[in-house]
Amino acid sequence: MILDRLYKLYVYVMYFFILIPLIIIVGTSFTTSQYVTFPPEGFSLKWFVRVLTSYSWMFSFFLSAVIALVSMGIAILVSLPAAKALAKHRVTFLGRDVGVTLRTLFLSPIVIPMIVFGIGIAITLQTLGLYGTFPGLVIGHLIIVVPYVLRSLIVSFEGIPDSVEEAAITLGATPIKTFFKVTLPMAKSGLIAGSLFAFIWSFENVTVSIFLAVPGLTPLPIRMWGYLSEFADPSLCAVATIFIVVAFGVFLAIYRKMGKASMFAV
Amino acid sequence: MVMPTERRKSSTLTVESLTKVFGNHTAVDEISFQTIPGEITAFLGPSGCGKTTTLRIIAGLESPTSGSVYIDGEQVNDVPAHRRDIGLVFQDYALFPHMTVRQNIEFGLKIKGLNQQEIQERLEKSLTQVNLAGKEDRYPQQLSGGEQQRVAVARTLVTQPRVLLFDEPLSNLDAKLRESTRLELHNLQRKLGITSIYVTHDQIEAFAIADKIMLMNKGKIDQFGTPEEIYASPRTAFAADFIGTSNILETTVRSVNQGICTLALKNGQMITGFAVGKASEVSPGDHLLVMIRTQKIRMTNTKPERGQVNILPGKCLYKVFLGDSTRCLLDAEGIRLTADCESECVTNVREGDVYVSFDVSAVVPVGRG
Ligand SMILES: Nc1ncnc2c1ncn2[C@@H]1O[C@H](COP(=O)(O)OP(=O)(O)O)[C@@H](O)[C@H]1O
Ligand SMILES: [Mg+2]
Repeated sequence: MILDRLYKLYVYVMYFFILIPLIIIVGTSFTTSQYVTFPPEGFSLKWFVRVLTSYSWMFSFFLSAVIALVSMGIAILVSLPAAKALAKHRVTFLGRDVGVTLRTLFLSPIVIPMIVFGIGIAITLQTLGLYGTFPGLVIGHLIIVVPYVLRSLIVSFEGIPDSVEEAAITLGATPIKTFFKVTLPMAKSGLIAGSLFAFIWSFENVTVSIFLAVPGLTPLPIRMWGYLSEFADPSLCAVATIFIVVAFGVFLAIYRKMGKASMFAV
Repeated sequence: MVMPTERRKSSTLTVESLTKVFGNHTAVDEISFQTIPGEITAFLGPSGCGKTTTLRIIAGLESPTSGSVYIDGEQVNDVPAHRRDIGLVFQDYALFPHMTVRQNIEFGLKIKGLNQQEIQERLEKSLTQVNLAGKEDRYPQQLSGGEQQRVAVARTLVTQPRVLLFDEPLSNLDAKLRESTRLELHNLQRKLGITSIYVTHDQIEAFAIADKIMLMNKGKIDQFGTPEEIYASPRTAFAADFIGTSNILETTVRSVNQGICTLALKNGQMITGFAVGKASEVSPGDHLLVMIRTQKIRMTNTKPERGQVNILPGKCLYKVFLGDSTRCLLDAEGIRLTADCESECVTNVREGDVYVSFDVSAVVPVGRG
């Protein structure tokens, strides 16, 4: 009994510490004062109005959304065949099985510090003449996002017994038809979860974007970063609140679609 | 027998010198056989003897290292699996979990491009055949193991394949269900007359369902024949040991005379058998392995009447009551024998000194020692 209560108390304290910054940010975004203060003074939506009518904030918001959507889309197209090959077939190079090597390589952006990739990508794009362009930003984000999509697809494909695909083939389906009618539908939840996570990772990324952003092409998190160092008015909190709502919405969508387990699968 | 009208004539499956090597392990070793149209052939053998691999090569899911597969005389080695028109019922059923029973069964028909009316007709017929009417909108996870198995069978049968392959289709069902499902499968196959291969490691199942048995051991065919032939005259010690329960004894031929051979057991005792099969080509001094089925051995306290051969003095070490029969472990002067006697006959036989006896015909030569 006592232990039970202590445990509950512990959980609530943890929740409190996790939630307190969020509470402060969301609370402050409704303040009437010119400064970031907590608890907020009064209640107003003026900071939201200011942000939502600001061209530069809205531009950055949509830029980030478009980058996230485009890199998510390309990541899916790139990852589908790669994941299928790595999960279901022997991949050889010069007669040696290189499946594990390739897998490690493709997933390495998850383990290598993002900032290292950021520098590398920036230099590469400079050489290619793509630095400071929209395609350049998408390429950068693709590298952040592909490992997440790839990993959740590999896990989903590996969960499909070979016999199910073979059954489709013995029933007359070509390998391509089998992929679209059996393999892909069975990997649907993994695909959706991986894609939504990819969207979030791209949307909120700072470490790679910071090397790629130029004036006129500034993703939302970078604009927030810059804004913080120059002005510190509550409009930043309003942006953050919108950010939280978007991220929370996406996670809720994943949860609704796939249930609890998928949150840990990626 | 009347063939259902919509079925074409049954096909012949021929396999020639089929070999499959994985790395340095030969899983299938020079297998050749031919089925009779409409019959069920069982691949029977211990786990790992190459049954599934052979089946997968026939289905086109695995390519042979060498050898050929023919259907109705036409070589199909280069025909990809999806165009072979061979049905395969998988051990784990391999149902499509994202499709209902109806969608699972319709899958092959839609792929074949049949019209909606024909699909509907075949679907309904097949649902009745496998007793699943009313369950067509369920998903596989909402069905019992037995029902899932029947969906797997129906899904394959509706496409009316030229050859039907079953890979241990009952091994995931409990014992009771296994027997009734086996009967249903047997009836269905008989009715449709589709040439079938049935893989199992269970001898009873193979005997119950098959017209022919292909007994396999270490990738090779050990013996091919009807269940009766294989049971009565196993041609190898492996066949004798694998099928039924038996004693295998090493003997030395003493004499062969007028179709009768006298054999010396390792303890010096003599037994007598008919000089048939492998024993028809032996001469004195040769070593011979013989099999005696456990059911053919009798055990008595008193010495059987004079004139009978094959009487050995021995000891009954212990008896295990199994119901109708009692299993007795015997020691005949250094030679261990297992006997399954009718319980009624041995209830009064005490453990200790006994006489062990068996007929001349019970001694079946199975190999050269
Ligand atoms: N894909 C494979 N790679 C390597 N070895 C295999 C493969 N498939 C089967 N084998 C081996 O071949 C032998 C026969 O296997 P299998 O045909 O599945 O036997 P069974 O169905 O009679 O139990 C086994 O020793 C097995 O380990
Ligand atoms: Mg097997």
